[in-house]
Amino acid sequence: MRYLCPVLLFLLIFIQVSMAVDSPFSCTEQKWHKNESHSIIIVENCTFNATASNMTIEVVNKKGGHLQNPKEATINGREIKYEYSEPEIERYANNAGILSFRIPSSYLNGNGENSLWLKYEIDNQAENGTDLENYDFSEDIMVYPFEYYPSLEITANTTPFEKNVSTVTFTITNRGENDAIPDLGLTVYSIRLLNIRTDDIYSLGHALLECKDAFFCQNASVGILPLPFDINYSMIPEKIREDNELEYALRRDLIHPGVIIGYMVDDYAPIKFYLFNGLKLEKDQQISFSFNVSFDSSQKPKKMPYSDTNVAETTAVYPFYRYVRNTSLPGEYDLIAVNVTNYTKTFFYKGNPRPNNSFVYILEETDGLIGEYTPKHKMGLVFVPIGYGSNESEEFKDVARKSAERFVSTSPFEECDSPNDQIDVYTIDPSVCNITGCNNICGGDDAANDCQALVDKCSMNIKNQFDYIVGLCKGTSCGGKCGGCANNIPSRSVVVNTVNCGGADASKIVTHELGHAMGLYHISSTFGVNDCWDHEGGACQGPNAEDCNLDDENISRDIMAYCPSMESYGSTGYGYLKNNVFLKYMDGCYK
Amino acid sequence: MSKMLIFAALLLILSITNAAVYELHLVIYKNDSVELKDLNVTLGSPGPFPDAGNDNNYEFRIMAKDNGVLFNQSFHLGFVAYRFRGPDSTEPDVVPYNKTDNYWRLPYFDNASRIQLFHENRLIFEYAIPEKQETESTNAAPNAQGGGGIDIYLVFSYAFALLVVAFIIYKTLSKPAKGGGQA
Repeated sequence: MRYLCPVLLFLLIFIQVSMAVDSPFSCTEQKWHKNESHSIIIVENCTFNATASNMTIEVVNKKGGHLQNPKEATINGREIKYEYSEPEIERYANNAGILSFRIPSSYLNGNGENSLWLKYEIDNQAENGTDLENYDFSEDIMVYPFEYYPSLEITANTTPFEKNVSTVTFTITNRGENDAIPDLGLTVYSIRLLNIRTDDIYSLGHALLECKDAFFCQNASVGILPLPFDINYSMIPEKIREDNELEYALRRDLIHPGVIIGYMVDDYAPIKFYLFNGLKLEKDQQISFSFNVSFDSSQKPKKMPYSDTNVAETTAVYPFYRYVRNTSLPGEYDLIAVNVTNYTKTFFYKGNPRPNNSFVYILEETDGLIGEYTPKHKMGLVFVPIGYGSNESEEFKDVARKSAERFVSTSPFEECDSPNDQIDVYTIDPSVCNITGCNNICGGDDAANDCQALVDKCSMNIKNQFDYIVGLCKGTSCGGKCGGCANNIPSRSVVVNTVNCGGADASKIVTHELGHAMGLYHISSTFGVNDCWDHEGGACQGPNAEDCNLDDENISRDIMAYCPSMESYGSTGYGYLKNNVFLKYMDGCYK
Repeated sequence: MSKMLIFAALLLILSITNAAVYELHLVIYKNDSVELKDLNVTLGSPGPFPDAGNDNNYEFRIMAKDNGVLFNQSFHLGFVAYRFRGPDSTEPDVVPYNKTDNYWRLPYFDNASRIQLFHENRLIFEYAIPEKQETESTNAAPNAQGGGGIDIYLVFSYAFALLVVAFIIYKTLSKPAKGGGQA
């Protein structure tokens, strides 16, 4: 006790000093006794300036005595939710409590002047005997902008999947200016075991997680989240027995320090592995831990029919984290609460260049389990109608379908087991954008008649990832002449008039324009050979320039020449597409 | 059936929570002028970005408050269009122009402070993301405050609420099966 008092005094002074810096509150306080329960009801009317986009308000009873149910609280008249926690004794007096209010920025007034109305209840007397009757509780209110919390730098690196095992390594560094606050929570780790290949979903069998860091793993408690709820680790077996529909096979034999769990995936929900160990990080302290992620094939995977093609997920490891302020399970917040730097994403976008700390696509090397390949990326094409009436949707979609099929059949995708599975084709109904026509098929300065800009804007109706936009203009509704135009080489959009042009139908012209969009230039043909009409502008340059050296017969079949045949891309152009543009869409897809 | 429903709901929710993007409507001029027509935070996927490999000459960057680079994406613009014309046409095949008018989707970051556009490593456009707009914008969140913006916290809250509903449905539908299934 002789030593404890000075320590507590120091802590109180430290907290007071901190409050003087952090707390912008000005409060008036009312309080009265509830005689029957010997507690005090306190009402605070506070004003405060807040410019933080998001912030947390804490009401801390430093004097001790139970801070009981918070009753009511509003910010600028809007009710706010609270979270109650018991702080560590080192920080505050025994039996103190903390009420945390997380305030979204939308609750704050634009001028920065805000009002807090708070009603809470506290024991009249602390356990240490302190009489709280005359205590000024208004000083107990503190505000913590999110920046108060330690700034965690989190990286997640994965190794290539070899022999069904990949290692995922997390490194967490506290870059914050403050020491870690008590009960800094833990990283949350998630593994999604969905294998969505076009319209199908597969389950995979057992997934095993082996925690490799002894210190970290042995002190961790684990939660598994087959459904979107925190289920205590110790409850899982009972849960399995209780509800046979959840066919979770918890392999108890695998549970020992360092090895977390074996898990059978036989449901459709993603799985999340939660770890909590009350980790504390001092400033600049770093901790690194890793997991082996593996699968075995003891559980024969099943094929699950699923028809929602809007779902663009694929099998992957999704590391993510969650910040928790105490050891109790967190609420619905916190996925984005921490100021994290250098952490790429908690997810990736299909088709987009992967972030540096890329995540493992688990199925890459586990094809044997399911006997089929899961592509990493699919090329996305969006077809936008111009000049089609609302009752001509089917006509437009038919042209789009034929164009996509021809493109696939002439592209390197043809080398894949299932060429059409390498591509996502989206069509926009004519009634969505109602583009009746435009004058300049190539673009130009007149926005209203810029066909390329019009299809670009309309394509934004597709929320999924895509790579190229193809405007299909009924007849010659784009500029009045047959043909098409690519906005650039390469380009994100092309526009094609659907009328036959020199013997080439719309689907052929689409392959020509998509060739431009993917980097190919014109090939110079010879007039009259197989009805070619020559005079291709800007020909014989770029990655397919060598195709101009082919003989006239071969050139007359080249998609990038002005010839009606348009059978295939020239050998050099095709090789360029295969080894460059299509590369990210074709891993492992060759026969 | 119930599982499928729940799964569909889950994926729907995930697709919602995982797909916030900045959508920039930019007019980029050949002379390096850039006009921001509109910017929203909405749902979607990043892209598309025309890729010329090593010849990419433009780059988007999203900067954090601490000047860290949250996202960078190079792409190619050339200001020359290539036409496929018919045998009887006298229109030019190679068509230069002065500006592009495009919508660009970039991934959303809660701690983003600036969106930058570089042309050959030279900064030609920068947009400072207002504090309020970091979490609010667009018409994607019907209940958001202050003009109908999307609030990521609200999105997560809605997602959580939907998950709760999904779980309740799951529990409700799964009970009869436990007793021997349906007749």
